[in-house]
Amino acid sequence: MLNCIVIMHTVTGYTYVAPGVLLSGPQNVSVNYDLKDQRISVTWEDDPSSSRVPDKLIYDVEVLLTVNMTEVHSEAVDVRQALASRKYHWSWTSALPLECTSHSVRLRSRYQNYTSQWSPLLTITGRASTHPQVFPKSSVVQVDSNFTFCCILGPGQRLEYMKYNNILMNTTHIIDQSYAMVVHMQSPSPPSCINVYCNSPLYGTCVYVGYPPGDRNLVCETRDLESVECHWDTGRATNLTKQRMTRYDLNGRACPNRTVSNCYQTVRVDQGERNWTLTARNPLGTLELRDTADLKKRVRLLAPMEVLASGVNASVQWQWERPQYHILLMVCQVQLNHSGHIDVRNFSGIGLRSVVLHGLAPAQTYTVQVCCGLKQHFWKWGDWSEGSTFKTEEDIPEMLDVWMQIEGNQTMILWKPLTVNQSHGQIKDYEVTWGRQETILHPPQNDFLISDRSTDEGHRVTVTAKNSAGSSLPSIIIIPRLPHRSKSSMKIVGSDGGFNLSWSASPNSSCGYVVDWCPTHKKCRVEWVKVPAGITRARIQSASFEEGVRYTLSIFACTPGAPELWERREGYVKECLPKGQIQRLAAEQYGSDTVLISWTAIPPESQTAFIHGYIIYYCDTSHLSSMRIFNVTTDELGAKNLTGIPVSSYRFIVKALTSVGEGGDSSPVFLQMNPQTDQLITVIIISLGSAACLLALVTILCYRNWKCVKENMYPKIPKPVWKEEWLTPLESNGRQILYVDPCQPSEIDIVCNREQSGEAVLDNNAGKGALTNTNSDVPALHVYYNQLLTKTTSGHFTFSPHTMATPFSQLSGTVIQNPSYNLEVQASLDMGQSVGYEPDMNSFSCPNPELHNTMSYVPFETDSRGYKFQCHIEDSSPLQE
Amino acid sequence: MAGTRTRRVAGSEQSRTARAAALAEELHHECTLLLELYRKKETFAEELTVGGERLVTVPPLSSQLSPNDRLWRLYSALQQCRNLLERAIGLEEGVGNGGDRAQYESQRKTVRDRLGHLLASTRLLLEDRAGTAAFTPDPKNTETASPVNGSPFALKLWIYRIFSELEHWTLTTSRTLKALHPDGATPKESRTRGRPRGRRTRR
Repeated sequence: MLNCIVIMHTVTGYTYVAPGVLLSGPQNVSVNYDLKDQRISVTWEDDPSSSRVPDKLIYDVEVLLTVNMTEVHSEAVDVRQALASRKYHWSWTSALPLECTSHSVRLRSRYQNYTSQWSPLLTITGRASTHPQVFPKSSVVQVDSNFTFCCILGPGQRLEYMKYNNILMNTTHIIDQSYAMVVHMQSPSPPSCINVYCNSPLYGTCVYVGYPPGDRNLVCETRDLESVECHWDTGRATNLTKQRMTRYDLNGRACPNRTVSNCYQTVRVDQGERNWTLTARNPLGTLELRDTADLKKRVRLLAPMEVLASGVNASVQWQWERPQYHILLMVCQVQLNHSGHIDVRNFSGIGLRSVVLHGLAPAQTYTVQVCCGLKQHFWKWGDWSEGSTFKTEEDIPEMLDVWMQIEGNQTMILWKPLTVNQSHGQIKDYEVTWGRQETILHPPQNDFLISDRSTDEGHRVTVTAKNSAGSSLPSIIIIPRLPHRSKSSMKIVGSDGGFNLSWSASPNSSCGYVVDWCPTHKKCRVEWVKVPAGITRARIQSASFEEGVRYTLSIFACTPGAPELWERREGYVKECLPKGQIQRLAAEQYGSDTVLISWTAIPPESQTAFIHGYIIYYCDTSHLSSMRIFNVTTDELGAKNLTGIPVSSYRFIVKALTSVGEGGDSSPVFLQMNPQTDQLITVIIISLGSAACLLALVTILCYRNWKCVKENMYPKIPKPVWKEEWLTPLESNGRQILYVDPCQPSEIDIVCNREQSGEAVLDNNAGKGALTNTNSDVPALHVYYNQLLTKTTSGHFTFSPHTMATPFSQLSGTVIQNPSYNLEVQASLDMGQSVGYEPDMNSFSCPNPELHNTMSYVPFETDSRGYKFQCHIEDSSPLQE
Repeated sequence: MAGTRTRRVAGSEQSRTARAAALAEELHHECTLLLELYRKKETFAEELTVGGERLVTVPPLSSQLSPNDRLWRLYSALQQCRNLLERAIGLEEGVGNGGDRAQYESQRKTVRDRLGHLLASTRLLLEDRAGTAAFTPDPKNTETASPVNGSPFALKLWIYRIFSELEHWTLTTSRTLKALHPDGATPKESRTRGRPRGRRTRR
């Protein structure tokens, strides 16, 4: 049966599928394509005379690659026989650009298991080129989508590369000279599109990447009751510009070019509630936004025009641009701006065009603005009008706030200048009255000095301010007859740039208190604040307060008479680290382990905080890390003894301690401590000096009383006398003999020279100057001179006084001659030798008298220079003259 | 007297030639910079070189030609360059804005202005040699097909080619004018010659 149908179709073009039912193939098939959207559209018809299919009819559509008849896409299209029109339409968007290769389309009809013949192939021809070309051209692609580009090469050409935005991409071979690459569009393109190349930067295309419209929140209203104005939010930027940017239609009518977020169209507003549809369209999509509104209930009034305000009665008038507004019941806001203070007042009425403003401050400048809305069906406030500025009339000033500052016999009457809100106009002058005197002062002066207050009347002072509207009520202050008794100040700590002050209630206070303040150590004009009766605390705040400055705050009780000083406080708004420096730091060693540290404290006027004490920091300079601390109270006035300090070198520094920390650091001072041994040496030196002085004193005394001393201790010894007669006559051999009388023993021993050893003979034959001891029987003690005689190599015999002094010491081979005692005996002929003689200074023993008898001496007649005979009177004392 | 006048005119012409040569050299540098800015703005690959058919069509500048003819051809080429540049500026708006627009546009304006000055200088040189009769009619401006309806990529490439032409012809002008100048060098009063390239004043 099926074959029959086929045949029949072959013969007649119809297939008989059931009694009375004929299945025909598609008729008048046509294919269109849109390269911009890469879309294939197919239209076809059915023959109405053959349509007897009772239920649904299906058409199979196939898209093939023409070259190898590979199926690219197939789809079953369900059509309804009930449709009056027998013309059908189907479209499909190709992922592969249609230019890349030829595509063919065919279709057939299907009913149950019966199908018609395929329609003849309809082909969309791909592009061919002599040089590389990239397709599609100038496409617009949505971000985050995949997009296929293809490159068609010329005959015989090879694919070298395909690049997207200068990035090398993977490619696939489609067929023949056609290659494709798929790109994932990650981010929007710049306004001037992204380049895609094939083989060379000269061959390529350009792609725009963006988003479809994302507009939302459509709201339509009317401003002038003659047109509709719709607004919306544009949402995410599409990143598409120029011809690709979003276009808008409102209710099917195009909005003006370059529309971004609002569209205006003239309409009739009395159509009741209706839909307002905005269509937003760009190459990537279309979006519809809807709003339903009765424009008569969506009136947003335009701004009032020509707003005028009168300064006389503070009335405000304005005009409406649209006469339609004159019949509308509206509510209006009048906004008053006075020195930044905003006051909004509401008024309502039909076609409102003027209002009167009450309660405005005198002599003040206001700026007024108006905006209105419908009272019925209020939709939104309209636009604000332009601002209009006006000034109200003047009024008498408020009372002045008067106070006084007493210094000695003078009193300064002070008052606070009135603010703009208090003066109610321009202050022309101030009138000060005391006693029977009156003075007129002009702003900006706001004080008056009263030096004579000897009379009672002079204590009551009245001050008034005057402007064009009149004088203020008088402010009265009574100056105390006697100076205030001094009060001790209590410390107070500031907070948040001021002082929170509280005090005890004064029994004399009847009208409150006055607190005034000034820097403690500076001349100033006092500031004050008045506190109502019954309140004993106040927050003291002033723009002139400075951190780190000490203030004195005085609390006065307000009485029916003169104010009475009640309490005083001193404090800092905020204590700061001391800025002044501790001066004249000195360190001095006392004893072996005590150091006295002294300094000059920071003067009160330089103090930026209350000083609670001082801290001495010191450290051994050889161990800087070993810092030690001593706390000193303020009672110890600038000095502190540090004890138990080992001897070393130290560095000292002193800092002031305040509640905010340490500061006012002194310059460091270094001290090298001396050890105790130095003092011992000093004591020794002093002792030795004292001894030397004593010795000198004794010496002087001895010298002065020398005769007495000498007579007592060293009686005078007679000088020996040499006489010629003591010698024998000169013999032929040149010898003379000394006559020696037997020595008589006496009480005084006579110390003799070398001749005591016996007869001294000058023997020329014995060699050069040889002395010969002729007496060999001399006892040992008295002949030791001879024993000590030493023969030098030159033939000299030498006495050494040193060796004589220490008879048992070794004899030196060197001759130490004493010219005073040298005995030179020269023979009359050729004797040139000399003999050194030095007496035995230590030996004061008297020689044996017998020895003297045998002693002989041969002097040199012609030259007796060398002989000096000396004898010493020896006592037991070693002292000698 | 006539001889004196001739020498004075000749001296003035030499000075003008030298100044025009200096201006052409300066403009060539500006064109190079403009081309680079454009390449970066449009993210063209660095290896992009445009060759083949030229947009500016003038007969070849053979050394056999007289100085007058060479000047004339240069003037014609520069005239075409200016027309192309004007069209490029107009068409570029359609491509869209992007990249460092301000610097690029400033450079483009500099090139446009200086090209006008160079054309005026070259015209003066031609007038010195051949008189104003040489400009009746003006040199024909060969219409060059532009991708008005083409793809944005083709348009971008076409503008790039225009800037390349500008670079080429300003270099050619600079060299030719230097060759025409008797000293073969720019005059002493020309300040542009020795100026560092990286520190040019832009208008």
